[in-house]
Amino acid sequence: MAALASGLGFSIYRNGGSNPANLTIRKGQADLSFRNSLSDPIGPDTQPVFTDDQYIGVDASRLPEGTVVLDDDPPGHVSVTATPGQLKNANLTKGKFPKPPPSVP
Amino acid sequence: MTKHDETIARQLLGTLAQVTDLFRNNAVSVGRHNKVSKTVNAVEFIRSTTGPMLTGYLDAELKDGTALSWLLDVVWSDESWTICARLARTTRNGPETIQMLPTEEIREFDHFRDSLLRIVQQLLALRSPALD
Repeated sequence: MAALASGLGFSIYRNGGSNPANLTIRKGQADLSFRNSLSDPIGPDTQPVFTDDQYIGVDASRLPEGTVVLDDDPPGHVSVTATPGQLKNANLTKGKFPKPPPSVP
Repeated sequence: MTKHDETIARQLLGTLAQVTDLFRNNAVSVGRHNKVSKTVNAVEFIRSTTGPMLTGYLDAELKDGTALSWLLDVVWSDESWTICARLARTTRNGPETIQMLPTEEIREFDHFRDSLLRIVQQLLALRSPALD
């Protein structure tokens, strides 16, 4: 487990949009799940993460020190304990995955 | 800028004010539910990977620790306006859509204003079993 140092200037990504509910740590949870790239984890016992057609990216270097931890469980997973306000102010960008091409019968 | 441009700008701002009111009024209504601990709502412009976009949300934090969100996204190009709206439940990994309205792509500005208000009304009328 590695605490990500501030000032490095890299993006981390989360499934869904920028509304505060999606940036709030849920009751019974210790953190929010992010990833260090726009990719789903690969391997046994892993499940797709980016199940929504939208995602957000934030600049991890703009988050307070100690609130971003690359725990790599599963590989690429980043645990975040920043507040919704801190996340919104971290150069938050919203993105949308392209639609898959229509299947050919 | 022509008088016509100014009229369109005023109409757009007026429509956005109505959309904001709809989210605000529904936040008050949802917030009165006995299972809801808090609501947050906003209509705002944000950056997206494809340019600026308009986004609206009504988040309802429930007393059981879960959250419901009424979500609106509007993106535009030189040719059209695209409106997406859905009701979602938020988990540790992000939102799970409960109900989604058909995405609408509108080419004419006058239709866009009418469609936006209609879709926002339809969105905010959606209810989850979690609020039964």
